[in-house]
Amino acid sequence: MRPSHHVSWLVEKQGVTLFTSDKGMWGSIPYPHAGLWALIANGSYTKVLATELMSILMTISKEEAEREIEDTLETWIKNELIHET
Amino acid sequence: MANISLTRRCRRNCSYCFAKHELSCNFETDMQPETFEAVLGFLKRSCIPEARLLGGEPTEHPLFKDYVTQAIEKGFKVLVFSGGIIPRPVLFYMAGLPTEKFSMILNAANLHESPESLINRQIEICQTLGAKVKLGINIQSSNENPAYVFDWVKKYSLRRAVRVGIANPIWGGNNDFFRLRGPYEIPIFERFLTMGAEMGIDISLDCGFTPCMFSQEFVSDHIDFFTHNKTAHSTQRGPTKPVNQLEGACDAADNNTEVQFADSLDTKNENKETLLQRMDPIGMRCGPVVDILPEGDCISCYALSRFLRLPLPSEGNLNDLVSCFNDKLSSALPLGVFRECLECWYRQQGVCNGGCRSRRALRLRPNSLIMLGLETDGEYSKHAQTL
Repeated sequence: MRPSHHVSWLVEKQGVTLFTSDKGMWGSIPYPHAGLWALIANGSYTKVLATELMSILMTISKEEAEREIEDTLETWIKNELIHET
Repeated sequence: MANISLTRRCRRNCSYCFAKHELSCNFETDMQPETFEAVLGFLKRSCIPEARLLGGEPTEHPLFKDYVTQAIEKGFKVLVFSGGIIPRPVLFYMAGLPTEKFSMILNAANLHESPESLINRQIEICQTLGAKVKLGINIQSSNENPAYVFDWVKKYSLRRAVRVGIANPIWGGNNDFFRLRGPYEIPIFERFLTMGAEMGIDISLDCGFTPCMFSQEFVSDHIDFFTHNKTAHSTQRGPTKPVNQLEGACDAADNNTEVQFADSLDTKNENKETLLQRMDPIGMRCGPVVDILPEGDCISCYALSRFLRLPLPSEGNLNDLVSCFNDKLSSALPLGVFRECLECWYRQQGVCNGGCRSRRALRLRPNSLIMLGLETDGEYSKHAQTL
């Protein structure tokens, strides 16, 4: 999983703000999902690591974390913010 | 306000130059007469009374004297931004111009670092032009002590005012610039402003300064610097007011220079010099100043020239250009130079718009060049990461 080439981002105190080269500011990803973005952005995303992280950040079970991650990634892929490698 | 860049020629080679990228571009070197005439028409349509000539070194344009004469004949007041390497015939021509019609901002040589030949040349300019000259300095680091300019103001009877710029980065360029480490006070700015006030020399701050670079006490003591008041800003000490009076003193966060300028044109009873000094609060001064390049293209400012260029409109005026630049830039850039900007009190009060937009762009990861439609470049990437 990697950010799409046309996407830039910046780290804010409350999360991450995304920009696309064609439309400008896309929106913000607040924490805890910004943590998931950080994993993808720095190239260290694995399903195991992401599940572990989101489970801790959201204080939910690993199964719930997995579902949360799947939903989130689906949205980001649909919006062409990330792509699978 | 709009600046006319007459030429890409310049022999000073300042490492911090905000025009560094543009000057190296392979476009037209000198502005052609028909372009200059079109630009003056644009200024007239935009109700701008001042032709601000810069470059490169504008005085190196072969038709510089003709252009200045033309502008004055058409009723403009001319302001020239010079680095000080001025051809002598041009210098003598400028000496004969009336002070109320012509003035210069001289980018002062650094007495500790600049070559002696440049310093001597600038001394000659100061001696020749006297009160037509206002000195300008660009600060690149907090270790600098530019107080020497005060001596020049006194010694050569220059205009009792100094323009202070902070060296800002070019988005997608590689100039040297003042590295900010966060929203912290930078004592040199306060010291310099205070010294100026004590000597009766007015200090005007250029774009890129933010209130967080000053102590709260200083903001309180110089509240008219930091708010949208309706008088000229001054570094002269006035009665101390609490910082929280900012809330009442600030009338609008979305005021822009055009509105203020139009307002100033209507206020006929006021002193003209005062009107020209009327400016936004220091934290709101990053906006499209609009620089018109030698080939006639318009850019928001030199630091953002790689982001968007627009042709000089044949019918519209400056407001149209400013709106267009503002629209594009506001959606493309972070809200502030620092992460803290989002929650900053000064920003909430509408007295700071987040600082230099080019500096904001460099916060973008993995590399802000993507936003410029440019390929990632290793060298630039390293440059941006050192912020």
